[in-house]
Amino acid sequence: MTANRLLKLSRWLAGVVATLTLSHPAQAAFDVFACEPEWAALAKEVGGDKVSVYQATTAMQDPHRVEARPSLIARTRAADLVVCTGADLEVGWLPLLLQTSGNGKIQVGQPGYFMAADFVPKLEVPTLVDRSQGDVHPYGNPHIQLDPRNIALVARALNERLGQIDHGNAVYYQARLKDFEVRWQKALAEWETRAAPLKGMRLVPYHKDSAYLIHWLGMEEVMDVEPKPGIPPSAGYLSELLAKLQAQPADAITRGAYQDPKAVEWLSERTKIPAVTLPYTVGGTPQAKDLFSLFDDTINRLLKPRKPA
Amino acid sequence: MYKWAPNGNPVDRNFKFVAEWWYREYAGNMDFDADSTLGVGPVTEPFTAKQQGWYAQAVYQFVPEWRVGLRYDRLNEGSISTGPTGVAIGATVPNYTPWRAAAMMDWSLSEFSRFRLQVQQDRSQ
Repeated sequence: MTANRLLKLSRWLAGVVATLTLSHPAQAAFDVFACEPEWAALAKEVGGDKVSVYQATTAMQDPHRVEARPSLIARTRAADLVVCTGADLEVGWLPLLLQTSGNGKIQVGQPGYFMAADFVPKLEVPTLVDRSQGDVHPYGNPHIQLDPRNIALVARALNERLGQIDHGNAVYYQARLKDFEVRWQKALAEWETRAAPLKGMRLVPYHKDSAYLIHWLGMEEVMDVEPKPGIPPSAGYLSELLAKLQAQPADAITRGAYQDPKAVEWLSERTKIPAVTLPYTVGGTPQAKDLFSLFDDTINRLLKPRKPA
Repeated sequence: MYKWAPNGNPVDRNFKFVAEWWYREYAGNMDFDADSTLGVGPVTEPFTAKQQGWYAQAVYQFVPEWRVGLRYDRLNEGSISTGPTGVAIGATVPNYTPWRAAAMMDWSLSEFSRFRLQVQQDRSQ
């Protein structure tokens, strides 16, 4: 190639490179890996369009029993912040993901590791834990998302963490938090008014995951359908439960959308106590599309339980 | 590996399928010492052996705590090529494909214990 043509070629290449870099400005999207749908929803509220949120599980998956798979590993590799519940809820799969991600930013103790349960007061912290108690969580009940006051606490902590890691957008995140808090406090007042008749309602949840909801609305957890947390009820145990419920009736038997309906329906038919399916998290029911409608739908379903035929 | 569960929730029902295939090739020399029985002196011959095998396994949990599974293992005969001394001592491939098939059912009383019943036909010898 002659010197002239070489010069022309290199100018042309420089032009191409310049155009490419101009049309794709270096915009580092802040990647958030959210373990569960409720934290994905909260990250979107607080982070707005400065964050790109990946939701690792759906509302139809049991968060205790998620199978780690290569696509999840790929996502943790790219994440700037991991937002999960903590309190050992994800102990069956998150540590493996963190280990295989090779991502130093999201390891335990780093700013990129955010466990929501660290920021709320926990209920049912056991004094003694052993295998005979079933799948008891040693740090307390981790199903913290069903008390909207907890969501407010986590939102604040999440905003602080986002501002810490992504200083450039700290002002934006602060504005989004303020906006969210105003709407949330208003919604909270409405929920508490509307849910006043639920006070003292006697529930039989399938798994021990409604403690925070029950605590917030002043309801009562009579017993669980599972004999011990994480152990499915056997036919024999269901008969025992039937006898207990006939002696000591409850107002509703509840289950989260991802939990097995058969046991709950069986009990409901025989005791004539209404069976209520609750969303448990964002996306659990078609009505629970975001954090606000999650609580709207939960309260609606508890206010109008349908009696079995 | 292929995993399936309804709605991605493996608690109630789930299915796992695993299969592996392997291939091995040896190439080198076989050194013989003097052997009066065969009437050969110290000799070195080239030696190559090729072999492949595979297994496939499927396990299905149909209710919580109960699973059934099937597994099949197979080793293909492969091939060995060597010199006359090697052939004389019997370094050849037997005319046989070893295989093994198993069916099982198990019950997990808890995550700490499991009872399994397995029926296996082993034709690897």
